[in-house]
Amino acid sequence: MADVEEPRVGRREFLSAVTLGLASAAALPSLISPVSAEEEGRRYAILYDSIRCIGCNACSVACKTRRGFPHGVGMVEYELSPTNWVFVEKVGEGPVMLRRSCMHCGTAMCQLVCPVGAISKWNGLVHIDPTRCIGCRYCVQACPYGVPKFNDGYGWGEHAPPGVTRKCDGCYEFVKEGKLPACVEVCPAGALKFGPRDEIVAEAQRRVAEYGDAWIYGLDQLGGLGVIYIFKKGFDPVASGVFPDVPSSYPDRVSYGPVAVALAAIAGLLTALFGFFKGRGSK
Amino acid sequence: MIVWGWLVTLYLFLGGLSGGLFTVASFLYLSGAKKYERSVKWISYWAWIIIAAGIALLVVDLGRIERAFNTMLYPQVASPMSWGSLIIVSFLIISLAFWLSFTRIPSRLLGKGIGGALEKLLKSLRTPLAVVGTALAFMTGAYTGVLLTYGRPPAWTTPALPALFLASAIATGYSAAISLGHDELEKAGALVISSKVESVIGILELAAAIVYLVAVPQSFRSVLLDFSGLFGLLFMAIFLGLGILVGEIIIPSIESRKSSANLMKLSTVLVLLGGLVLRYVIVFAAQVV
Repeated sequence: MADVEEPRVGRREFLSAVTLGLASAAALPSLISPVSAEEEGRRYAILYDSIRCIGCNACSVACKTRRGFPHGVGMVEYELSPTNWVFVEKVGEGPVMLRRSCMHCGTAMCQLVCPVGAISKWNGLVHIDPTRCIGCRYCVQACPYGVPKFNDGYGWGEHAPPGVTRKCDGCYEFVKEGKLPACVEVCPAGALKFGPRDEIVAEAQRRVAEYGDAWIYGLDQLGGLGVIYIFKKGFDPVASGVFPDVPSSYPDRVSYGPVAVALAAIAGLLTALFGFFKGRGSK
Repeated sequence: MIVWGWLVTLYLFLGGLSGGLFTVASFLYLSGAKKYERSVKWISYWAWIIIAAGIALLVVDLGRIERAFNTMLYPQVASPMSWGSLIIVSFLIISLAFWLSFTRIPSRLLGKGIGGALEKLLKSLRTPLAVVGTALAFMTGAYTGVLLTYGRPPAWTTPALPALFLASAIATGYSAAISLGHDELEKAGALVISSKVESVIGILELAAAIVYLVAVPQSFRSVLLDFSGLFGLLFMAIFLGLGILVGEIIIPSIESRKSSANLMKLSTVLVLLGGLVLRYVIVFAAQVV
């Protein structure tokens, strides 16, 4: 073993260095505080009118057709998957029609946590780059609506390769070409509408005023959702447990104060230890 | 549905253990190099081996292993996992360099010219490596908890979780380190105080566990406290009972009166088992409850 020289560091210097390290550790969470909604030239949104929706799931079929995903007559999947990006289910009394798909959140947790920048936005439409995704599934864990799904099975073309996470991307590449999202394009009941978010919100407000017994979900959640829902009064997706109770923005759900305190306490303990061993070592 | 399974669970455990080991190695080096020379070398050896194993598990868990390096190519300021990747890789490099500085491996591998120069350089950098490595070790320990706090399960979103994981990291690393360095600590007359410190760490970890229990939603707390269920049994009997109470508090208090290498090894086995069970319960139970 090589000779070991006595380190040339005093207690004060060492304490300073450790304190600096611990302060960095404590400051880390503030550095990784969530991003705010991106400032875009335009933010698109989808209007989903639950009152007009007839639950035919043509939206689901059209989405699969455009992407080349497997489907067939009578084979609507009532669960999001790497190859099932949107569907409508019936919930509660009535029943109420409920669209399940990506919410294209203003503050998108999936985008925030992605460690490789594979998730980004184009005019508010949150999309995953399947060629950069590493398949860590952090977005799957972080999305409060449980939307992104990891493809641990076979690949289905360029839109659902194996080993990556997939979800609705708002058909942003098609929108760039002047087309509508597939789901909106085929809706036979006028339940879906696509456009700039401010216009979509205005349309939702107009319809709510027309219906009289309706209300809007999605205006404020997570920086404002990119899917604006119209529900009949008496149905609350949060109270009925189908949507999570999300704040208007993050990071208010996590406070790191106690972590900093714990780090400081440990720093004190270690400093005491250092003092002891320093004393022993010098004997 | 289990999205993160055993590989992530093992990584969370190994990351914490490695961080704790390196911290002790660093302190022993900075406090009395010659006395604890052999211990420092051995403990830092296990620190880098274990974090390397942890990183390997993380990579294997990826859906696209061949893209693992994307975490280095496209760092994201807002992503805890991006920061974490940089931290654990930096920690691996620093802990490996610190260990190498106590060996003749560079000159054996690269010859006396380049290898000798590298040895000399590493030797001159021991103190900064120890200090920077300690900060990275702490960050590695805390990061394993911070990673989960951005997840959806309510059992993960409390800041008490990183504190508990950090406490467990220190506890497992410290227990393993004093077992590895038992002979030198005994020779230096430091075993008694080492055992007392382990008890103090055990009490701090117990406090962190209680804070966590208070912080999580009632539904999850019930699961952890339910002896009739698997998760409750593991959390209460293995983690709290055997790991903390027996392994970190009772046995070390016996050791502080009468030194016994076997007792110390038993204590370490229990503490490590408790640390692993803690990660298993937190990761799995939160995803299925």
